[in-house]
Amino acid sequence: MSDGTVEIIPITFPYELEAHITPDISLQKHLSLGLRPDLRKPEEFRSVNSVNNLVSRYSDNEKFSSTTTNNILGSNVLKCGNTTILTTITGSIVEENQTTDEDDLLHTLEEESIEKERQRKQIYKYLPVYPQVEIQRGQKFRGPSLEDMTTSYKLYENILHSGIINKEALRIKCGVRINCVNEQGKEELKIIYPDENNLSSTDLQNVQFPEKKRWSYILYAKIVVLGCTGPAFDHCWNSLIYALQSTRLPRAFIDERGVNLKMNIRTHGRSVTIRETYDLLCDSTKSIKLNINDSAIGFSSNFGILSMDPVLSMDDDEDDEKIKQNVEAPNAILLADLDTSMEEENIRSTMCIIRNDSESLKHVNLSGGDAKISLEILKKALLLSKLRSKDLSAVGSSKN
Amino acid sequence: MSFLEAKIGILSHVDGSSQLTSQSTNVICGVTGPIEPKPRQELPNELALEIIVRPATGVSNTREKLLEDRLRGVLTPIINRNLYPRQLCQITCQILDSGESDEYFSQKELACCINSSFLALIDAGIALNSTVASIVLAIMNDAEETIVTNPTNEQLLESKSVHILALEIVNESKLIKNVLLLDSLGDFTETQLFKILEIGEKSCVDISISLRKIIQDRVEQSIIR
Amino acid sequence: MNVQDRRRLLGPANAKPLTFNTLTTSNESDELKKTVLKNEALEVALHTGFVSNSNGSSLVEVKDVANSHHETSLITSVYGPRAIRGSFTSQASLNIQLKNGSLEKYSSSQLKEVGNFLTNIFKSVINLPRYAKSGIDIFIYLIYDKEIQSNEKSDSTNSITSILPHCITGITLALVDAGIEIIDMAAGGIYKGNVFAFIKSGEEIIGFWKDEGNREDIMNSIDNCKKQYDEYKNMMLTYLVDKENCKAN
Repeated sequence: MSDGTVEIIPITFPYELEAHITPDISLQKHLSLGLRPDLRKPEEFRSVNSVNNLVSRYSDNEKFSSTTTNNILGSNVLKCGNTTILTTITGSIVEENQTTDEDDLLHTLEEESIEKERQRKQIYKYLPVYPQVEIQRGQKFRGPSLEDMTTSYKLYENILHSGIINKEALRIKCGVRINCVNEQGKEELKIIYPDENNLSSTDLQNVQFPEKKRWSYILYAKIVVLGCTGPAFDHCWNSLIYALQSTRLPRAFIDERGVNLKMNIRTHGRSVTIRETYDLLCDSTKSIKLNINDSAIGFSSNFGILSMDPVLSMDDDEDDEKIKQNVEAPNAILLADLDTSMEEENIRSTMCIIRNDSESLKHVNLSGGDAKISLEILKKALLLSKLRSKDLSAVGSSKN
Repeated sequence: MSFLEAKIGILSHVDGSSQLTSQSTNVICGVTGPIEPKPRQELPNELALEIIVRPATGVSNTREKLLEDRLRGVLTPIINRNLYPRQLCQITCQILDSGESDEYFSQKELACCINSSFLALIDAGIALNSTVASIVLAIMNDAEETIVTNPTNEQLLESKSVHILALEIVNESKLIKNVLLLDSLGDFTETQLFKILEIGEKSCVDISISLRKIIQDRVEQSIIR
Repeated sequence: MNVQDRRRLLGPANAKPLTFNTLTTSNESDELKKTVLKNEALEVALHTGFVSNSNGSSLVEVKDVANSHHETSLITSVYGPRAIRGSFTSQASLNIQLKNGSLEKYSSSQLKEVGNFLTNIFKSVINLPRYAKSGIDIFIYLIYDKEIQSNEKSDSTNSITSILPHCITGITLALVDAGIEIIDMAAGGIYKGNVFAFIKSGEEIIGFWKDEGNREDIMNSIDNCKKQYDEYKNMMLTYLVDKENCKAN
């Protein structure tokens, strides 16, 4: 000290503390060693486990099946790393000719020309599911958070635009419940479906199927994310796809007397015929598999892009010239399947890709908040997502 | 570009405003800031953004929340937030006419919101790092799978896939710095995606130039000679 | 009714919920009886520490034919002790919330009532003064819950009452997993609609819940619940000791 020099001792923090104080630097330090905070390689995905139909009505599980009486039509539990996603599909019934304004229009105008028009319009052929996402991050429950809402809407938008569920797939082929006399001469209730093969001709003659009315199922998905430590959309999407693949729709029927119930009403001197709306009942034993467009199914993967800090990523023995080069053209690095809050909060350039394992892409979202998304990086991500999609579809098919 | 019309500084009670029309989509945007934030909004070292999108009909719901989220993703990187620590900037977009079937699409609205917020931010005098321009593209469901820039609602409904692109443009609309947003929905291939980026790039530069022209006209008007 | 929920995607307003036709054929109830007889014993599965973003968590899966007639599985996650907003508090503020799973079985007021009851129990279990200026939030997520019909005439148990002992087990395990100081392992039992929760080898009652339960024979209920308390406590201790042993090896 006497000669006027000051000795500077660099402060070092233990790892946990540094990760807390300066997460951005800590992340850079990890990556400069070629590892991520959760010790994965940059382009390594987490492994996924999935189980279908544990709690649903149509469970394969012996233990539940005989006694289950709930309204869950399909379900999936997906575990990706430490994150668990529970998806359950429920449904309801809607009478079609009163669903939307468009449909009202359809009936007042000439039906054929409109129908032709609709044929061309891709989007009208498909139906969405209505998802409700709950991402549990330990916040007190005050209704859905912003993240819950945007994730829900993204899922809705993607199911609709991917064309996974055709309108036809949810249309109800309605059966009729009739009173008939069986062989022993006893009266019993019997449900007859128009598309069943084993119908006797007498049955068909006696039964009048409702023709004027059309009903459809509406599907809802409830998705709960437990132990969420990173972006949740991908896992919600994949879990939702698995759940839809395992969903079964109950057969529905109407009582015989409800088929042609009409009432004549006179109002203001005009005679109007009103058809009584009759609620459909669901058959508790018979069900059919939900028919989804397999070709439209894609699986989702996410990526982050981070530009490496040139000073932190250099080796000690690099000369000044090289450092200068690095500073001028920072190196961007692609990280697959973001996890941990350190990555989620510090990586602002992200990609989300939904695709199948061949050429078809269903959804791409790029958001360049920070590092530049170059074409090379995009190509690399597209390739990785293709491989990931192959793996994920294998996970789904092996469990079914 | 002829399909884009905009006016700047049309509202008197905010710091900056703009109204932007593209085909039948019409958005009005107001920017207030920098102002004092509520304690829970305050960020210690940068400007906090409050972004609100109001729909043309009805009240806002999850759909508008996603629009807000995407708009935030685009605007955050272009604003020089470090200049205004502990301050707040409110950006409100009121959609006057969605110009699309809002049950199925939101792309046209989002593109208009991005472009009009950019103009309003300039009008409010908020420091920006770079400029942004946004465009909607669609791939049609015909044999050639033609790509349409700035599609009409009819075209959207008949399309096979829809894409929205927002690019960060610097250097007097000459250099593209980054992709701020690309959101694609529907059914498409990798080749088509790159084609979309290529065509979208050109349209975004065109839009950027016409936005600059609008700003230039406005500045010239306000100079007292 | 007409107020639109702006934060959720609800789908068409005129949709009607699915109603299934009821099958009350005799052979089905026979089948039920069979399953009941097969599983006379209490089946419990315990698991801790798998919700990674929480401080502690537990999964409790119970199939209890004898007492609560319920098949339940629930996830408990503990967040805390963590900083709270607002003024200084000399001890931790505790908050317990329950959430319906996919079955939407219970009303929110029922869940709130149970949450308050559990909060009161655990106020006397957790060493709250140890954690000044902190908050401890506990969330219980009811994944699955089903009533098992018993052979005997059902003794009119309110179904939410019967999951209470499982909630107590779940919270205790999650607290241990989180490393939060507790005075003793708490557990509870149910007998004829009465729920008692105990600590200190059953010497101290820390909670009593009665809805439509038996009101004549309270003392008998206590004895029966105490038996279940011992059973649950042993199970928890065995589980925790096993887990430690696994770690040590």
